[in-house]
Amino acid sequence: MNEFSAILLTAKLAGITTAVLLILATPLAWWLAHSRHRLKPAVEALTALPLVMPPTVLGFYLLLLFSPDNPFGGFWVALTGSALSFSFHGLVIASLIYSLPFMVQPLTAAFGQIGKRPMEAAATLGASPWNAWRTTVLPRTRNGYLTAAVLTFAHTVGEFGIVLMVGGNLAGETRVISIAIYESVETLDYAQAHLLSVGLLIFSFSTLLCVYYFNRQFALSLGPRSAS
Amino acid sequence: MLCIDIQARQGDLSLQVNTRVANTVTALAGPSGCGKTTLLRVIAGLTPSQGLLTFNDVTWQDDTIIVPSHRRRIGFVFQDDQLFPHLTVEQNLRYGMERAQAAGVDIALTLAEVTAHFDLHALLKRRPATLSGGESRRVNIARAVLSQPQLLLLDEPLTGLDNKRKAEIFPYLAKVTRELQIPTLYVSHINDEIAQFCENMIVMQHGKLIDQGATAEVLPRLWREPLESDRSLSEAGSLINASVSRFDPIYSMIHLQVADQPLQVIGPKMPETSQIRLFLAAKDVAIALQRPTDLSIRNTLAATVRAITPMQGETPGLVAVELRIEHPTEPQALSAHITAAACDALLLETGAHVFALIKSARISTPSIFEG
Repeated sequence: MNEFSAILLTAKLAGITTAVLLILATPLAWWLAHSRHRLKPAVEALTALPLVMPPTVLGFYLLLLFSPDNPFGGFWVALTGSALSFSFHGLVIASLIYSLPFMVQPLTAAFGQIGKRPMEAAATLGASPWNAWRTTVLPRTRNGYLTAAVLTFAHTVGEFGIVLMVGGNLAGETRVISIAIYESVETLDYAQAHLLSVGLLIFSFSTLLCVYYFNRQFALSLGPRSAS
Repeated sequence: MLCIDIQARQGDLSLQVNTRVANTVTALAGPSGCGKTTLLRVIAGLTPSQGLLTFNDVTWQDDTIIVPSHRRRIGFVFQDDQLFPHLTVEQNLRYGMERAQAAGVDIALTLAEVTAHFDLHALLKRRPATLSGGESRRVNIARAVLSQPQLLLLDEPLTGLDNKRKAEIFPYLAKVTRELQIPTLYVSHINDEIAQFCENMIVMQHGKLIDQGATAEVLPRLWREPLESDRSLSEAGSLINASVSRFDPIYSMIHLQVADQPLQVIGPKMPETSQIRLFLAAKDVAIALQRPTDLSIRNTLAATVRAITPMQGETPGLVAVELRIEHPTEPQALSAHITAAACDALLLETGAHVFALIKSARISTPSIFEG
């Protein structure tokens, strides 16, 4: 069934994006929370860019980047034998970029709240940096991680513009729920559009409800954050 | 032996220290902002610096090596409590000990011993958030000690506590500094604490070392140092060793012996024959040529004048009188700051036999604060 494969694909995309971003965003968020580097505001702005830019702009540039004529796109083709544009892999890379702030911002806030002092205390007690981080920072940022993961997952599920630009509408490859809804409306199949839309609405509301309910101490700033 | 030859910059402060510190308890004193904490952090490897740092002939830092903090085997007690809030007291205590064990360090101090030393038994299952300020400080010190440090760094361990809490921590700090035999650097700007705990002291100002030596020698000459702003520290005085002879519960007075002469101070009951150290500020010591009677001042110690030095700078009109409380085996030094006018009126000169008057109410050691 077409719609079922769209749901499955969406979950797969959001799951992979969330997992990869958990790993990539952690060091970035740690750096943003603690660095005093002069380039920090620039990195902060760059990270927050997907929040304010029209998805089509990002999608447009990603499409150019993914093109086999582009060095990066060409390199990918040489590496894997297939192009990134209109492929699931391309969709994953696009998702990593446009969902980045949703992962980085809650983590930065969580790390900033804890500060570096516990790491210092742990070091004087004989803990190596990684060990210190794992035993003093990670257990205390679980809520931050939960918020970040849920928001990233939900936002990836809900994205439309970039997906349409970069992925197109290939069943089983790039046809995620938001695209399926768009297609249903285009073909005047309102019943189908309703079904998926209501499902997405309930999903989004309940995930946000969970985040806000379990996790009141983190104000979710969905706009660009001022430097802290 | 800790050899320090380092430079560091921290904000406005430029730290430049070159010295050797023996493996005893050494006070690091000086006005606030003079770089005491920064020096401690440099020694711990928490603040970057340039130069050389060796401890017991092991290089911690030179041009090519920087041993990271977690391999220096130091115990650090921070000014603000740094217990891990997500762990119980016991887990906090075990944190450093287990890592020392994993690194192959012999566990000389066990959890049971330290728990007993610091009376932590009732606290073991609690979370740091439920501890009082005094309890929390105790756990911080115990945790540092349990990590089996070869060097203990205490950054104002009594700061931010009211007198009652200080009195609560005091006996434990005394145990750490006197019984455990761990070389210790003790940051403080309170002369009472320094007199109590530290055999040696280093005085710093503006990121530089300005005096160093045995506490008993440095405390009396503090007025010579161009120390600024910090009144409590610039107050010169003497470190007096005394033994407890009895406690008078009616007046709440401790009767002490100083070089076989009686001295009375207000304070809590203490075991007889226990040794205590007192800080006597030089301005609180008066001089009489004869033993006065009918005076509210309880303490008169017979002494000999060793030196008279006019004070310069901010306090013209004062003289520093160095006295010696004679004793066949253990004479003690006592300094008194009196006006030059009084000195001349009394015709004081070196070698004169005098009586030092000390008001009991002015003597305070942190342990003698009322609970």
